[in-house]
Amino acid sequence: MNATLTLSGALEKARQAETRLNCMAYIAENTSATTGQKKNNTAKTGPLSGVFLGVKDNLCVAGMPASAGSQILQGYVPPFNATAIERLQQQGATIVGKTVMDEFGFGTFNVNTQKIPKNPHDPTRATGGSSGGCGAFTAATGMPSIAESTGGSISAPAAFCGVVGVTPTYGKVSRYGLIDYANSLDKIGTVATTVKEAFDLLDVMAGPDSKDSTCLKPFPEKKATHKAAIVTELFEKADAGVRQKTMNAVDNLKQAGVQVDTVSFHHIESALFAYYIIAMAEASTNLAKYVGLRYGEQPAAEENETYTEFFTRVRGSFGPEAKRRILLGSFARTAGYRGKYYDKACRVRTLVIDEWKGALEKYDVLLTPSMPCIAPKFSEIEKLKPLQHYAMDACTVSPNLAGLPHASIPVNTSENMPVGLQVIGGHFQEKLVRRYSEMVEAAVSKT
Amino acid sequence: MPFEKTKTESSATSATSTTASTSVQKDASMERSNHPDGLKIGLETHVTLNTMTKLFCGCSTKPAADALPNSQTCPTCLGLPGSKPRLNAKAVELGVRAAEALGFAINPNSIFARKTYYYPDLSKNYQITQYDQPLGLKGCLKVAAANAKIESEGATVKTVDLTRLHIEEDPAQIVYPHGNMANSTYTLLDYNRSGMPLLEIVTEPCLRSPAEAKAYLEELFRLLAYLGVIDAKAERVMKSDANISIAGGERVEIKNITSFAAVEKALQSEFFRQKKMRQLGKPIERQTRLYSEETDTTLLMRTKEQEEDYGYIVEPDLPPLTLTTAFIDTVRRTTKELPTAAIARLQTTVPAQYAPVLVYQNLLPYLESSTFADKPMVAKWLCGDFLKAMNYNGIDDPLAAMPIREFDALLTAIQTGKIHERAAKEYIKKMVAEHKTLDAVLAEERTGAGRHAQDGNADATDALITKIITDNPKAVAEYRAGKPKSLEFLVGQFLRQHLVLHPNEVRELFKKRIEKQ
Repeated sequence: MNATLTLSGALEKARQAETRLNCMAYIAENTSATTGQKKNNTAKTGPLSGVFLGVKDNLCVAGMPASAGSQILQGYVPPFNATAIERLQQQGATIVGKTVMDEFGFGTFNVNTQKIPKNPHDPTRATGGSSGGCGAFTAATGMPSIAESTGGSISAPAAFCGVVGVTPTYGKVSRYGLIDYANSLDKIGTVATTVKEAFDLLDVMAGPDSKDSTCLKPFPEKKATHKAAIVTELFEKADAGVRQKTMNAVDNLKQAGVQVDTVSFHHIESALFAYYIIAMAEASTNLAKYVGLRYGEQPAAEENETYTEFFTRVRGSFGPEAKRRILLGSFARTAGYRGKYYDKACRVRTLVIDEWKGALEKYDVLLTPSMPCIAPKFSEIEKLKPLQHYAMDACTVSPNLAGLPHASIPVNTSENMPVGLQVIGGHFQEKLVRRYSEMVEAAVSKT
Repeated sequence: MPFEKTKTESSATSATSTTASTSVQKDASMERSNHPDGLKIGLETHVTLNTMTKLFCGCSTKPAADALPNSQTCPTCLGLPGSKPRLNAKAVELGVRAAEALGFAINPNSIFARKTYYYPDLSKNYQITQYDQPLGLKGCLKVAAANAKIESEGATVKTVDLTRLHIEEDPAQIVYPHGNMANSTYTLLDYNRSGMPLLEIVTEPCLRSPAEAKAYLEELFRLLAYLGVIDAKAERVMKSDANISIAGGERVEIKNITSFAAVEKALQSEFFRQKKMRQLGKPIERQTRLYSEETDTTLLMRTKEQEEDYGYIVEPDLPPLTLTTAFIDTVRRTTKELPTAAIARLQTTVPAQYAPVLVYQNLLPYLESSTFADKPMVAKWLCGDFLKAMNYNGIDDPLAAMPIREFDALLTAIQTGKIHERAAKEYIKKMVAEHKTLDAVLAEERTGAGRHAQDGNADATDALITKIITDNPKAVAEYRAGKPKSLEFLVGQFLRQHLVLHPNEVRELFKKRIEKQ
């Protein structure tokens, strides 16, 4: 952490990143909103004093706008803080602004929104999503950011932008104040330039919160087995360049004395489909509340417009991907189809969880590439169909579906673009994930 | 979190309020109705649980009478983006208490579900409820014949079978500032009600008359109030959807009926409508209707084709509601003795007519703590003037009305003749209203006009007798002419102003005086 950075310096860096990369939804102007100061105007001091953060725009920071990348929430300023934000501010951290994202988290490249951020390493390429603004902001300014992952939305931008991204165990960090995409899948995490920073910030946010019924006390720490394993199928999914760089990183680990085996999983394909069905089904209920009443976009009603006509019109403001997911998600849970899709996806989810848990009894961590390719060009993305977008999540959906903690660590570049290696641990075994992540990081810096 | 064992989906059942109960009711409705028209009635009743705070947040359920609309709200019950529910433990305890008393099998791992539909009173456009894993399954409530007007001959008790019981949140309150849904120029929403805790209880379609339906609701209300599950004094505590069908016709649902009387009237009017349809040879279609009190008719709200699919999923923000055996046992242990058991037990010690009053008015512990040996007499006085005095002074707890020691002293004084019953009735009123002991009240009486003749001041008594005789010459003349009732009239006049003397004494005093004249 850059201890000599001042608030005005931090804000200036944020503005520069915004100008170059289009990554900020909002930049703070005055100090009271940024530090969560109490009425008597004293800034909180603590271990995170001097730490300046970007925050993904689906996290509620009281007094700062939160639009979750969506037109339909334009103008919404939450009256309360997310617990995770509250805890960071209590320790003295300062929030300099909100970062752009795919609408409500619906995306792998951060192109499903009106404000599309650019990759700091090559502005003709995407940042990855849905926490794309975090990836760009942190890579460009060096300041950490608070991000969120549902199916891989921290690993993707971390890998594409060449920074560290940590997604904790589901239930480790309170989701109170996180604008929901899929409640059984959403996790608040961190993006930073070093493994230490990313995990340290996570520890500040973590811990039970009575306001979130799914936020748990951690399980006991497992005894280390001192063994890791690669997941064969996921290395096979990667393109040649990515595969080579990530396998190099694995080799470096072996040379550093880590035993690395191989595991093979049977539910890789179905994990992707199960994820999307569950995520979309839950999302379609979470997005039902956006009808132009009480917050966000609230147009005037037209003459003789019924309530149904009004909210149907307002909901036209959703982007195409949001509409797609609402339609598919609603369909998957209608009577007559629920058994075939939603219920079945839930059962497949259990199979995925069991398969990964089984492997993680034997191994401290499992290793995969974070993404199957380097950050694509915007022109390439335009040619992709929705299912091809979804297929890009192949490496991240399983740990996300299973709620397993994982980190994306930048390893050596391919075609001059960053590549990420993903380190996945057992539930609440963040310590082991951290240890192996540090080893990967150390090995990379040596080469 | 998702659950491994999920039921296979039944083929598209039309989605009225509880699809799961629909599939169960379908089976039960196959059962023949022995009613001449094949009449079948089922009720889905929602009661507001008697908690201090809402079901999923800390907002108060008991705002002051002058509280402003939308003053008892927070991000959670307003459904603000990012807000999350957290379950009220008291609501669970009350739900389990009700389930136990109604004989339900309690599901130790019931699950919350999201029921999604678009209506302005639903802050998240989904309601958190329970769907295929409710808190309770298969209960029953016995309704006594006297108040049930039971159709089946020879029956003294109607057993109303209950399909299920579950917990869910209330939507906001819709207010029509000018009139009603049909004619108000705009609609207002008050989210004070959003998130209030509800218990839903569903009957099998086993009710055979509108009167039976009303009697069931009255008994259900009484039982839940007795258990403290609902606050009997609160407004709008109970509302029902009524389902009714006759032979050859589809089931019609009448939504959101609040009073018991309205339920009976709504069902009568819908029964009449259905019979008329059948008479005219028209099909009775599956519909949702509303009851209008003004016109005493039911009005079409939605047809079967317009029924929504609620697209239920498990509520992912709440873990399964896991109840330990220890918890259920504690609730069982701390629940009051059920009314039917208490009433049965009392039949051996007090006259039958007092037993229900003692039980439902919470006077039983008082009776049992009283040391006065003549229990029928205790029951008579408790259920009569004592209860009246409590109600008059707005006192709920008999111990707060009068210490048992004083009550026993009063009954002892009556039994020994020290005071007569007429006086005792007045003394109870005073003791309760003014929190005075019997001795204090008697002392006050002695310093007033009502001194006992033996205490020495017969003058005031004489003066009053004189006054009454002077003021009522007609009655005196009639008595002399041989009408004893007129004497009682004069005695009554005296006792109205003065109580310590026994009526017999007063009668003798009047007789003597009139004969003297």
